[in-house]
Amino acid sequence: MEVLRFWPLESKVEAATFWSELGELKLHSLKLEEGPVPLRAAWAPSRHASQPGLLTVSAASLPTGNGEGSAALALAPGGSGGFELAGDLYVLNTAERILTFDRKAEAQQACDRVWAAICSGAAEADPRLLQAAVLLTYCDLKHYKYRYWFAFPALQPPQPFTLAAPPASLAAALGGEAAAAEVAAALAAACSSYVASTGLPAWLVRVDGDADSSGAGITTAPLTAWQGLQQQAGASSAGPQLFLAVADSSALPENPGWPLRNLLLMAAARWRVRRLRVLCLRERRGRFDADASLALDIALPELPPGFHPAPLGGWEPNERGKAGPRTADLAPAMDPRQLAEAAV
Amino acid sequence: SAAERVLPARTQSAFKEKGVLTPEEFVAAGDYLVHTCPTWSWEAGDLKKGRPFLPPGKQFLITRNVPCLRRAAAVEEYGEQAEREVEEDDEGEGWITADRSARPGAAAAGGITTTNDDGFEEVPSIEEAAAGGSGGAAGAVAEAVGDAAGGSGGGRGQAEAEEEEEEVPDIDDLELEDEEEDEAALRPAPRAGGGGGGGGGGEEHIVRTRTYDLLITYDKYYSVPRFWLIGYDENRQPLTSEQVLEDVSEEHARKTVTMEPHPHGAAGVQAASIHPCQHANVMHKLSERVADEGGDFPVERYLVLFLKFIASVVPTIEYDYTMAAGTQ
Repeated sequence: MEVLRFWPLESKVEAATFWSELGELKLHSLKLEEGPVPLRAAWAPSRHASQPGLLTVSAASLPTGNGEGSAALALAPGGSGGFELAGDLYVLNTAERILTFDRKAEAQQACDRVWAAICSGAAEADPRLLQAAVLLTYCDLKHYKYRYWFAFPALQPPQPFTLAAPPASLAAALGGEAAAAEVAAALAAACSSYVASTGLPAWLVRVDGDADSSGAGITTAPLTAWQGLQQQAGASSAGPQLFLAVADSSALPENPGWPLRNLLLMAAARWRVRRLRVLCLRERRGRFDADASLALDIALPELPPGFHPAPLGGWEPNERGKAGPRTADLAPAMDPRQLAEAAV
Repeated sequence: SAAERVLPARTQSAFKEKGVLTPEEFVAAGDYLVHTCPTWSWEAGDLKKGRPFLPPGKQFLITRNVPCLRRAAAVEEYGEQAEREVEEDDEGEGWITADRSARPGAAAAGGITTTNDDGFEEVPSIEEAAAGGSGGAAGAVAEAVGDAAGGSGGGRGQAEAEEEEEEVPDIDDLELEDEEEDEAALRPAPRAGGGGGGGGGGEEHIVRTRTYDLLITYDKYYSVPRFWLIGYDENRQPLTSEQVLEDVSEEHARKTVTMEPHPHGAAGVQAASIHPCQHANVMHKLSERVADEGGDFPVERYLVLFLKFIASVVPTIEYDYTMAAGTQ
């Protein structure tokens, strides 16, 4: 069976606001302290054809100057800015520290936190806890040059997740008959409303009745409703169909985005399922779009007793595809000397 | 601006007569835009920069990561078409005419970007821009190295940056080879470091493009919405003002589109903005035309119509301006 592969999250720093705020934080509040500082980032589903959803940080991602940096982070309800997640920010004192930083230990810590949220059930109530992020930075304040390296840690299952069937369209997953397209559109609309009201990136979808007729009923429910819905669905073979639905950062025709990884491990650990139908929803024109979305039939490995997942850093490659930090050169926008020259 | 700080905000509605908005009308039109085009949302921005005449959570409208697939030079024909369309009805006095003397406001506010037609011709050709898709990173690094080595910096063209490629970028000492083993990850294909290759590298279905964050603020002095473009390159690094102007119709680059202090950015950060001095005029004409066709034009639709007008200035950015602006 084919191994299910995920498109990594891609980062974007809102340069106009983030870097100068970070510089202020380093100069006036952190000083020689390197962190971690709580970072509030947000990732978005794919919103344009062939454009993946990005994980964005801006000035609002940083703790406000006068609070203690280690205060617990309360995630705000998601708007169209995307789904918030809590990350760890390090503001290192030298550029070389980015390379010598103990990235393995940091990934281990982040993954342990996610695993604890899975085991306690907290992640079921708030699936945003499943996605972690780490950001290493070095600010060369004199030259308005900033080095940074994102990581999106992932938990490794004992064996890879595999595709039990080839990826399909939403309509095909719902029966593939002529009326299924209509049901798929209604399903996408129901998912849009669920996300608008909860701000959560993962939920359950139940499709009642015959998808080929227009009488199909669509219900959305939080992940915590899994056991109850599963029993109903299992009662009869002609019963309702149950799907795990996620907002999907990937724009690829056959691959889901990174945030699904930890969610699948949660399904394997908490729900003990070996087979799961997943709907990966992507937006077009600001709403989930059935045609752009993807349905997957996934086989999950069995977790042995006492299983503890191995961590994976998920460090974002730089512009050249290599392991290493990226550089943001803000001198053309921020250096008074260059601005003065450009203004002549 | 200084005038903005001392003048009071407009309180009398004059949308029908002059095409201007009060802050309340701006918020109403913004609410309508957010409702009908959910890609747009309200934001609070930096609290320290908040405008007291707007609600704290509704300081500006934003839509993020809008792809920009082509440079403006490649869609000039489209631009000309749009131009004729807008000009048709308005008896030669349209905002689009290149008569610079008719726009003293633009010239004054242009300030740092004095119109320089010769300079504009230095904008890289489409081929160069496309090559920049993969060469951009290396170019930027080379430029950065040049600056660090005591170069004069500032405003150098892409071609020059590419010439400096032989210099070893200092970032190499910040790269590792220890990639994690992860068979479940699709890796973006490594991008060629050199200037060769097309713009669309990476995985087969991932097209690397520039993206824009688009902002709409309220301009108190002109009592109209103001449009901002914050650009990012294929590697999601900020675009320079030169690069942003490549995505603006040539007719408007450096004239109606000028570089101004970012409305919510750090001190000194510049962003491209469409100068609002002609907005009221154009909006008045456009809304009258819509009203002629279909009766009443409610003020809530103002921003939807405004975005249609913006689309002719920035033809390359594929944001969602296709919905009907009329009364139907």
